[in-house]
Amino acid sequence: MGMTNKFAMILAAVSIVFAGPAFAQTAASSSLYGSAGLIDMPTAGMFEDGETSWTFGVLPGTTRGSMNFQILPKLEGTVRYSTIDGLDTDGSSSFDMSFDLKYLLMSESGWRPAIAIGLRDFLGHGVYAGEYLVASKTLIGGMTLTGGVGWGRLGSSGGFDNPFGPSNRPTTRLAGGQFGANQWFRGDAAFFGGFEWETPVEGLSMKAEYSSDSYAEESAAGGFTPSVPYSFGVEYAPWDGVRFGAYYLNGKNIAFALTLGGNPNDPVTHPDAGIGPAPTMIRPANGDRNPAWAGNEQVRNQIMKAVSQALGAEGVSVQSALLRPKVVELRISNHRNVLHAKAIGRTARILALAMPHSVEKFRITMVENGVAVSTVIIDRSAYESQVDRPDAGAASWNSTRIVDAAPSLGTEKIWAQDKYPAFSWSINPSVPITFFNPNQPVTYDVLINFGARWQLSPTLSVSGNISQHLFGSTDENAVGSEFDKTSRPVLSRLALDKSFKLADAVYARASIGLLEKQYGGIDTEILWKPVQSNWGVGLDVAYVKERDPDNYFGFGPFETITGIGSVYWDTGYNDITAQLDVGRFVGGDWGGTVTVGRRFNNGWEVEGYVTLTDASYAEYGEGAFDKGVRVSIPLRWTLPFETRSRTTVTLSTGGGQFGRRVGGSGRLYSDVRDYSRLRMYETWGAFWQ
Amino acid sequence: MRFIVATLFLVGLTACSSGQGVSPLTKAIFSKVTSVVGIGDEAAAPAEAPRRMTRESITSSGLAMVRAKVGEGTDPQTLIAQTDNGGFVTYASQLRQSLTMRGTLVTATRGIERDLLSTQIFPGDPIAFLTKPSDWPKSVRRIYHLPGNSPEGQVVDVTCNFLFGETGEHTIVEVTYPVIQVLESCQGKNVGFENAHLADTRTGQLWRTRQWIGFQSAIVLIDVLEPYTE
Repeated sequence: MGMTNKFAMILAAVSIVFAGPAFAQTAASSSLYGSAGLIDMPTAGMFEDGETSWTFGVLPGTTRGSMNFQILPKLEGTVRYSTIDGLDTDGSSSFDMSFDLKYLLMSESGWRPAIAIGLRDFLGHGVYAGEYLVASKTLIGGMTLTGGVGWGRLGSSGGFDNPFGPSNRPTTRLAGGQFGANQWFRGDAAFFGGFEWETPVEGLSMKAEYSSDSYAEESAAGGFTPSVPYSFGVEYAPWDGVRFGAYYLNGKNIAFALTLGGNPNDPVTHPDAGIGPAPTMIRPANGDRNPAWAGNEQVRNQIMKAVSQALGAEGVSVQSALLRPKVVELRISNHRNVLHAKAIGRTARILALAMPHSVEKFRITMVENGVAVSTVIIDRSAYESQVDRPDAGAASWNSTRIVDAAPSLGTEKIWAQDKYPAFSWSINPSVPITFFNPNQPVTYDVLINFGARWQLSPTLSVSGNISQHLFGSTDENAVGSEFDKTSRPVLSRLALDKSFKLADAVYARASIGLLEKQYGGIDTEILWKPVQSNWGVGLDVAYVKERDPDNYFGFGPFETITGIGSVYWDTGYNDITAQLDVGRFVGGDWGGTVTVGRRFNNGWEVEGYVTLTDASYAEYGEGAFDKGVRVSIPLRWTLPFETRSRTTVTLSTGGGQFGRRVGGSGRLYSDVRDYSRLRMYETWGAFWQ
Repeated sequence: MRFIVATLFLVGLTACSSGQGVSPLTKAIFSKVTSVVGIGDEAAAPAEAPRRMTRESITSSGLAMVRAKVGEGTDPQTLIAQTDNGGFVTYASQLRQSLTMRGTLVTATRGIERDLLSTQIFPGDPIAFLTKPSDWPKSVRRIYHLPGNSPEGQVVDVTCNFLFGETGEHTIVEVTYPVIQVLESCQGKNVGFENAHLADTRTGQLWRTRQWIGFQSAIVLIDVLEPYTE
């Protein structure tokens, strides 16, 4: 086929123009690969921004578990773990982790189709490695047509000479975790296409596709042999976020899929459900503004008692306060409200109701884990001129200052909660789910955790955690470290923790004791992070010894020093955050971790990370480096009341001790990041909520 | 995914701690069980039957109040005027749900569906400023602020046109008013909605109004039981 003709065919494939009206967005549904697509072939469709889904696909001889995330409105990412029977050279099943990216080049508009370019399995063993250019067009009657051209595996059936580049494609299977850039868009190309029809029956849709995948790997392994390149499927979504699929593949095979999805921007419950804030009125112009009250300790104590009780109902506890005639400062901890701006706003309302009329400024200092982070300075007269008024959000932001909190309030006439030492406890069941363990694709366990904390002062505490495995995938005979034994209670932490501030924007933390399940010792951390800055720098240094798995308080011979420097950056672009960690990890290996994520203001977090160290491929196990995805979902997303609790699911290859830092102690940056001026700006609308 | 998450959360909700005591879910279950078996607060003190509202009770209270209902299948709530900040009156229910209104235009909601942060109004808006029907302008501009990723929130700028309908009478808690139907059609960039009102033919006071309060919220239906006067 001549170049001109081939190019024309490709243009025809990617620029399919059909009769019918235009729709604003090309519909998307999950394929058996977990990404937006038909059955196995991709489409140019994109999910709603932030949409996250898990797809479990079962094909003959193959199972695929995929997590798909709409990273940005035009960028889709997928992490997948597949088990392919008989694919390994010794005939055993192959566990394969793969990553996909798809970028929307052009949105659907008028007569123009949406056009996207994608890479499939570009950072893995390359079993599914393929690239494509695809166009999709929405038609009348719920029909979406797709046509595209693929390379690699997507060009392996019905292919023709590559019109864009070399026709030879390196066939060497890459080690896990290596880029296959020298293969991209090389070798034969082939057309694929199909349609999806959303039937008039609500939730029911049908799909048909012409596949350009020869399934050569599966055929060779004996698990899957296509007869024809056509596949058909029916999908049903009985509820929002749940989709079942059944497929007749390539003329002879049956496959099934289950997709569970959710969107951070589409909470299960109304995010604003619950009680509203206390209505507040402005001070009368002729009100008594005599400051004499401030000199009376009894009056100050009465005011603070009332304020503490009122704020307690809002999920806010007052740590300490300094009441002066014109300025009051409260140091508060927000235990319940997802958005700190909401806690600050409700505190301001209580202060506006409770404070004598001579007070002109409210200084509200946010305290996290005993450490004062930022101080929000509110001018009372400005507040009163804004309350209940239109566009109060912008007006209050402009009249409010946010500064780094001073390490302490000083000693002058401080009102403080008389609650130390304080003892607290908790009993929590937990269900840790681990995907993509090289030895077992999905594991789950049900644990019961007992926690206790003896708070000696706001910044000094002793805490302990014991967990007991009840049942699940892991058992005494599980392959893993000695610390994964499940027959007896595990003392996962018993340590003395101290957090403090060295300067207004410099935080420090030290922990000593049994720091985590596997290590004990001393762990210290220092962080520089001004609230005005959208970036910070930290250093974490630890000396640890490996604990004796057979003795709660014993240690083994292995000891090491870790030192990890970190740079944190909140980009301010689409809630994207980035973090770089460089140093010596607990396995004694040197290297770094790059983490890029998206942190939605309602608390959803989705982040991917890659760790590369000087540990050898053999030492590291699966892949040349650790890589994975973390999804953290706030309970508030599903519950009709405020809570800061959350559930986190991690999908990683796992590098054992390599590329890992000592756990157990919270990171300082996690404590302070939500108090930055940038995050406050983005959530300030909640100040009046 | 919602079901997995919901299951995990239910497991999490069964947690107990010294700080929060029994989890909210456990509390709710416990409360239900104790009421069934005849012990506990709920069983000991059955809820008082709601009193029927009369015009006399409204008048004798001396309070401005409205009755609001959001969406279908919900019970109306009575909200009483609590504060007046520059003409923006906040009405609150016993459950601390609140509506802020300028005149009879809803300018903010709290604890009712998704919050309407605020509504920016312009001079001459007859829903916000009492105006005889004969003097109503053909159209007005409003700017709604909904929750979003900035202090201003999500800004919805619309122009609303008024269309008068038939006249008639409308009774609210024993009092009958002469009213005229008004349909208000609002259009903005990528948004369009309709409000409906029953305006007093003599004064322009709205006695019943049905208003849009946000993309993700149901329509709010308000009966003015006793209008606020300064």
